[in-house]
This record gives sequence, structure tokens and C-alpha cells, in this order.
Amino acid sequence: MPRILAVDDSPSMRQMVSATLTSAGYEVDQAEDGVQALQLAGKHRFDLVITDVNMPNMDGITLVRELRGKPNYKFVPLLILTTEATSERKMQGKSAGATGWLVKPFNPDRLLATIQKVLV
Amino acid sequence: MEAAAVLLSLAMRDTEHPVADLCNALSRIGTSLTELRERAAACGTGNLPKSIENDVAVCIQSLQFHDRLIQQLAAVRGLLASVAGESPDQLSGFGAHRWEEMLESLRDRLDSDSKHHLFNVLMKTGIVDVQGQPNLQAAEGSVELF
Repeated sequence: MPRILAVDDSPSMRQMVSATLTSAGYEVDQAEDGVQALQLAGKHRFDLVITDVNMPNMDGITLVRELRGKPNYKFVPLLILTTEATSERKMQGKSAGATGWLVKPFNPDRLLATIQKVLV
Repeated sequence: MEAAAVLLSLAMRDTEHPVADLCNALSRIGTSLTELRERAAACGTGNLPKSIENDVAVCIQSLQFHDRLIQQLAAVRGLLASVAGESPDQLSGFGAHRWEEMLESLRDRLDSDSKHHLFNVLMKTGIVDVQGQPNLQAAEGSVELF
């Protein structure tokens, strides 16, 4: 099954994303900010990364930009899962190289459907 | 102001463990459901009632509002602490300029165009009248693929 990296500074959000994905059979690793996520992404090859935007040390938009700069992650789906929904922020995410933008609170079925869609 | 900020911190901390326990319980239920589903499929005894999975999904979705509340409270605590940290000289000038700064901080916390609109309406009139305005919750749970 695909391996997914879930990035969020909130432990409860990480757990909820992780619970949703593992129940669907995905293997899930967790990181609490962009810096930790980049380190993990350097060690392992993830099939998809789903990240929050507002996090300490490194935000999600920067993380997406950094990952897109790496050859291994040029074509890997990078999803942003955030409470932010302004057009301006979405455009920043798109410019950084995000595959999609999901607004919290996420619906588990919808999240899984989106992941299936972008992993194809 | 300082006491209020401390009270907020304590209240937020009080919810940490119960919410973590709840999340762990949900994770365990999710894992058990997966195992039961696999077992049922192997035995050919049919599918599990969809209602259980739907209820878990409702719990996961609803619990995310706690996370949002904590974020907003952290922002309020930050505002209170910033005011509490100012010297009396600075506070004596607590006029239009400082008010605008605080409004700007609050605006930064708003996460959608519709909330910005509502905030501006509230600041102008003090009345919530969103008739004919975009649905404020419209963006929640939305998915946009680029």
C-alpha cells in the first residue's frame, strides 16, 4: 500500500488524519512541522504528502516548495490540508507546487476519495 | 490581561489529555473496524454496518473543531499577552492606532474571504446580517485540485 506522510503541528489533527488513512490500509508516517517532514522525506520515499499550512519552524507552503525542488518529489502528490480558504493563500499553494487544497474540517470519506484520485 | 491569558492557557492545557485520549480511542476503533472488516470478508459473513463507519467519520470531523478552537484561543491569548506586556506609557496611547493594530491581528486570523466580509460587516454595524451573503461555512471541507 502507498506510504503517506502527514504533517501537522497539532497532535490531534495528525492522529485523525492518520486514523483515517490507516483504516483505509495506507501506511502513515507523521511529522510535526516542515523541517521534520523534510528530514523524513529525505530518508524515505513517500507516495503522497499531506500538510497543514501554519506550523512552527517551517510552514506548509514552504515545505511544498522545498519538496518540489527535490527530484524524488517532482511528481509526488502534495496536498495541503488547512483551515485557511482565502483565494490568495490557495494561489500561494498552487504556485509552490501543491496538487490540491483541502479545507478543514476534513470529511474522512472525501479525504480518502481525493487521495485515491491523486494517487492514480 | 495577564491573568486572562494565564487562565486561557490553563483551560487549553486541561483539554489536551482528554482530547488525546479521545483521538487514541478513535484510532483504536478505526483499527478494530479494519480488522473486523477483513475478518468478515475472509469468512464471507458480509459487510459491517456502514453506520459504524459513518459514526466514526462524524467523530473525526467534529473533533477537528476542537483543534480550530484551540488555535483561535491561542491567538486571543497572544493578543492579551501582547497588551499585558506593554508599559503604561504605551497603554496610555491605546487609541485609534493601537486599535487598528489589534484589528489587523484579528483579520490575520480569519481564514476565508467570507469571514473577512462578515468581520467587516460586524465592525461597521455590530449587527450580523449575512442575508444574501456567501455561505460562511461553504469552504469548510472543500477540496480543490490544481
